[in-house]
Amino acid sequence: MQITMTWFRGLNWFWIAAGLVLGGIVHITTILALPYLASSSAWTRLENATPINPLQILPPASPEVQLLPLMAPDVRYALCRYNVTDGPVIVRARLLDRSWSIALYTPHSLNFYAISGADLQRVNVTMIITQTAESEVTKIPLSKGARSSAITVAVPEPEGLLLLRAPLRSTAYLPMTESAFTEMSCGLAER
Amino acid sequence: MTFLANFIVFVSVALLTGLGSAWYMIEHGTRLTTDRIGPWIVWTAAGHADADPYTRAYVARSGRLPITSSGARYYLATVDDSGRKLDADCEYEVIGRGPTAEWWSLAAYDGEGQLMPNPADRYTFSSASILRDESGTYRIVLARQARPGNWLPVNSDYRVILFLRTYQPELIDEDVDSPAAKPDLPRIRRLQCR
Repeated sequence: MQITMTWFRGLNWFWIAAGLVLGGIVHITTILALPYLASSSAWTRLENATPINPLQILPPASPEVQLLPLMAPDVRYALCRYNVTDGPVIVRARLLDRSWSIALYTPHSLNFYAISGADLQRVNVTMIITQTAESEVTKIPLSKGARSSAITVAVPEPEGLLLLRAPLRSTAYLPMTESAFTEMSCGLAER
Repeated sequence: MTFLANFIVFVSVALLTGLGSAWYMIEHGTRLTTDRIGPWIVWTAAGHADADPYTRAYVARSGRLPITSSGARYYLATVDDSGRKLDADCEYEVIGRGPTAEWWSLAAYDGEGQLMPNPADRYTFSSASILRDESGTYRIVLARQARPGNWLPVNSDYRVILFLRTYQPELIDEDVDSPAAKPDLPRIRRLQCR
């Protein structure tokens, strides 16, 4: 007890106050750096498991195969790890239900764009993911109908993730869902 | 006290307060970043393009890819209605009528967010697959052993996480501090423990 009191009396409170100030800086730095450094982020988990640009139909979540934490076993997912460095990426998808959705993420897990079947009010979607000027996008050969309805998304970073979610209303919808997935694509646009 | 001892105190205080508070803010959330509805926690800005730094850090660390909150809402429970940790050695009933959404599903995971293997190959109940009584109320029983009705098997050595995802939810202002303004989320009641 005597030793503890002596130790406390010997403390220089300036050092403790300075420690608290540095603690604040450590706190802010940690929070701001985590999206870029987290080894458990979705990008880190998917980077080596998925190729660049083709749309990949993910296996249904199960105890054996689950690429990301808390994935839904009753949602079917398709993923495109896009890279627009060499030009725009074009995505052709079908949203068969109001609850189906397409979401785009930066490598730091930031969802910067999302659209659902409820928003879209139509089934077929053509999406152009780009970092280039509008004039470059107009050079992409598209049918007149597809061009007029195409959604152009300007990405904040050249690389990112596109995730298509298709909740299953029941297993009876599974063949229709899988068939729709096989008709979808993601890849560099022809110019 | 020597310079070295003071320096050790300085570094210790800095790391403990800096890293400890950052861990707490991300692991538990606060009223600034999360809303608590009974045992359910929702990160209100998860999936928003203009999410605050704490939510961004939480999302990145979680390994999840949440979608913007107008299109989806995610509720996570690690405790029951009484605030006790969900334990795989206990049985729970999850009772409710909602939430109101185009589609929702409730799944059970282990502490790492992984689905738990079970002989029934059953991992989830959705708004389409759940059995309800005449009043529209459903009752899900979480248990290791099979139970009649909506049985959701749990098979973990330790923690259990319940995750409720809603797509195209009825938009409710969860910041309004009134029961009527809260989404209709199910209750989680402990039945018994082994």
